[in-house]
Amino acid sequence: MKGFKLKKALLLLVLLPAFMMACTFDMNRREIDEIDMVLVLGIDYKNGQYQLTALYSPGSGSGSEGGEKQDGGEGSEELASGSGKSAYLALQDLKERNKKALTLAQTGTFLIGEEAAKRGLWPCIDFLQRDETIKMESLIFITKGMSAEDFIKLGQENKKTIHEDLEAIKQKQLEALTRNDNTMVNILNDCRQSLSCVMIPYMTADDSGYKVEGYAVFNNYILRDYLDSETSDGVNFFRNLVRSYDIFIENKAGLLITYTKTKIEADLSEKAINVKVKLDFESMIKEVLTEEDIFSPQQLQKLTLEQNKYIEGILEKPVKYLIEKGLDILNLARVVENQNVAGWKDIEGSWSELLPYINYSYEIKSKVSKAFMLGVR
Amino acid sequence: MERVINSQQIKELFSKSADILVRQVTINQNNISFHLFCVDGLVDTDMLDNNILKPLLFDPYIRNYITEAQVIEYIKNRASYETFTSIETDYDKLLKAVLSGNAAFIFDAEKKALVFDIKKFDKRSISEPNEEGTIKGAKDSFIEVIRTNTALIRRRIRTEYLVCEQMQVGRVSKTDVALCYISNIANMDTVSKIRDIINSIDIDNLPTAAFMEEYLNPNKKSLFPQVMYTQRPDRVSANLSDGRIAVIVDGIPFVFILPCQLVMLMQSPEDYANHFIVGSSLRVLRYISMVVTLLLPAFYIAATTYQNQMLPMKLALSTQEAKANVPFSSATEVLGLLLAFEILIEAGLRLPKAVGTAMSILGGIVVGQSAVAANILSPLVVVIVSLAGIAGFVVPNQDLSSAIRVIRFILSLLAAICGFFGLTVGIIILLIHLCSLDNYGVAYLSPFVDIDESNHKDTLFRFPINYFKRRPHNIAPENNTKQT
Repeated sequence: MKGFKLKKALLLLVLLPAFMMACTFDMNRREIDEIDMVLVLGIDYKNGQYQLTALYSPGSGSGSEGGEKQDGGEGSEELASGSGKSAYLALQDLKERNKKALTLAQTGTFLIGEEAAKRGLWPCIDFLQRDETIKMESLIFITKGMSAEDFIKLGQENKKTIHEDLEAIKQKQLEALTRNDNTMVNILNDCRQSLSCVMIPYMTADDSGYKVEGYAVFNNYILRDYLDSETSDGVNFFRNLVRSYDIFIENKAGLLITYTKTKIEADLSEKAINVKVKLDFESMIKEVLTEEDIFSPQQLQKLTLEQNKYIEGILEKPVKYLIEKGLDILNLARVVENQNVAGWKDIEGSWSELLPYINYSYEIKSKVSKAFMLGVR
Repeated sequence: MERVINSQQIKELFSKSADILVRQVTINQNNISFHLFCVDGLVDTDMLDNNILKPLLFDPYIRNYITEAQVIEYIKNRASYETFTSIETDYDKLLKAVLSGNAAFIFDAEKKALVFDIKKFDKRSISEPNEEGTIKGAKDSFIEVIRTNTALIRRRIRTEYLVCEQMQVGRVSKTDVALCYISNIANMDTVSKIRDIINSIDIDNLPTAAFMEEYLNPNKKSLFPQVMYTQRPDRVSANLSDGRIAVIVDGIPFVFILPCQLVMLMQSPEDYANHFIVGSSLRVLRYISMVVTLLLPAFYIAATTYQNQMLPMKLALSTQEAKANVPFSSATEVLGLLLAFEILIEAGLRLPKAVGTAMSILGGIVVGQSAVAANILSPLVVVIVSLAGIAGFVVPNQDLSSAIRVIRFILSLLAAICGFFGLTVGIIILLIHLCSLDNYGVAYLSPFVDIDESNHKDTLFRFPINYFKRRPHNIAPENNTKQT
């Protein structure tokens, strides 16, 4: 009996690791120094083919056949590219060209070139959502007016450490917004609501560096337009994303919004859609540009009204765009659907026609607080 | 051979033992002789001479007692200054008593002996506990003498319900074992279970604490310690008043406490000596350290070999850079260094203190640094293994710490075979094993797995003392009111 138990235990000892190894056979065991980690991946469409440009940090003694070592920054970033009839085939081509295995597990930023975006978002990101190693918090940007490859190369020419610069942009975004909505998971989630537009921030590049200007508008997963900076800010207010925002009231004051809360109420009455935007915010005086006593109760009240008007103007910009273009950039379809489940079924089919006829009203409340170190003015 | 009390027989029995004294003594006044029988070095000779023999030999009244029977009764009741005096008629019991350190007067005609409890042998004085020291707590600790240890406990628990049952274990060693409990609190079923286990031990000798521990261990195959040991009388008294049972073994400066749960092994006397927030913080730190020491090496192997996406980008890059010129795999590095770490610990235990310090420097700093410089190890692995090693020493119970060290190896191996999948399987098996452990009717993971939330007030966090209203119900089922 004892011998039998011992045999069973020994068998278990052998079988358990064997079973686990069998289960993990496809897990691609690879030491961390044996792989090249792609930090930034550019996705373009050129000459009838998808092209992927990978900026990666090479492990020791690696490099692709056609890899170009970056001279700038820490000198530890290399560039490689691959192309194919689809983005996935382009990735396979890229992997084949590289000496070491490439992984997208550490890719923090995906850049989609303008041409590729115009051909459609889905072919660019479909292969990414099926890769189990992809980080869901990776950011996606559109490169306005140029290909992702050129965008990366411009950074190299200007001796930038590109992935660090993009990381800095991410941090700056988080200073102004409560969250980054252009993560892989959020964009895939937005894609599920087909009646609204998918909004992805676009970037521009010049000799001084990279900058996020506003949102690129995707309708039916195809790039339609770029929003200007103020319209994009209005979208952020609608989406309740604003953490801090600068207001400048001419000849009076510069203010910094430190807290915002947006609530959108959608009401359906006999096929008329009424949207009420309730916005509460607090601001802090950062600069006084007038000789008047701005802190007197009357002046503060006046300032409050002026900043409310300013923000209302910002809110009206995306609304105006929505009415003009008939593109739901404010994700109103989801708001109306969630708040009017029964009524939504009746209007769902004609949503795009109804969009320009939505009635908007604003209820803006705000508070101005003082900020100074010495008690003067 | 007839087993009756007889001096000649005893003389023959111990004829080759120089330390056994069997000497004839005659009382002049009535010419009655008896044999003094004792073990040299185990009896208090001053007491024997001054309190027993001298008064007896100069006693003017003893001449009135002319038979051995009369003399025995007289000495027992009047002549001796020794409190603990008894008459023994059983040969085996007489041998046991004398070999335990008592002195005896053998009266051959009566086949009886007078036994005087005048044990005195060289013993260590009560000192500070070297493993469970506290700044604000009591400074005494148990020693190797069972009676001193029971006295230390009784000094703290002055209730008439404190019971110290004494037993002997070991066919040859005849080691004294005491079973202590508070009869109106402890679960008597558990007491009788433990008593039965001790009585059923049939071994010639109990040379170390581990022997008794193994007998008391209800799950012998488990790596986790099932019996808590402590050097501190205050800790024993606290556990006794919670309804637990203490087992004291002569010759061992520890006391075993049962039933034992995992939380007990993570508690330290310092927790109660400090403010409850400080105590709780220290306890949380200990649990974090336990997780770190158990999982960190395995996590590193899994993350650097299989799922590098688990690492933040910057850490992944620095790990890659650190490992760039090292010829070994992460698993080899970690497992090798863990092994080297164990070798260092083991060597440190065997070496004299002065050499030990030098060796620690040589092993830890010189060899470690050289290995990194020679690209045999990556610096991150040295940090990971050192951190895991140091965190392991935060666990207060040495047995638990040792168990964790072994499991750490197994988990690292599983992580090397199949990454986080293996690690997860290992953790699940570990949790299943822990959940299945039963310690004298109490779950080993109790009170984490208890429904009664009153038991949770002294686990991960140490609540203020006035919250401890009840004793653990599964340990003291009948009398569980601690304070009102």
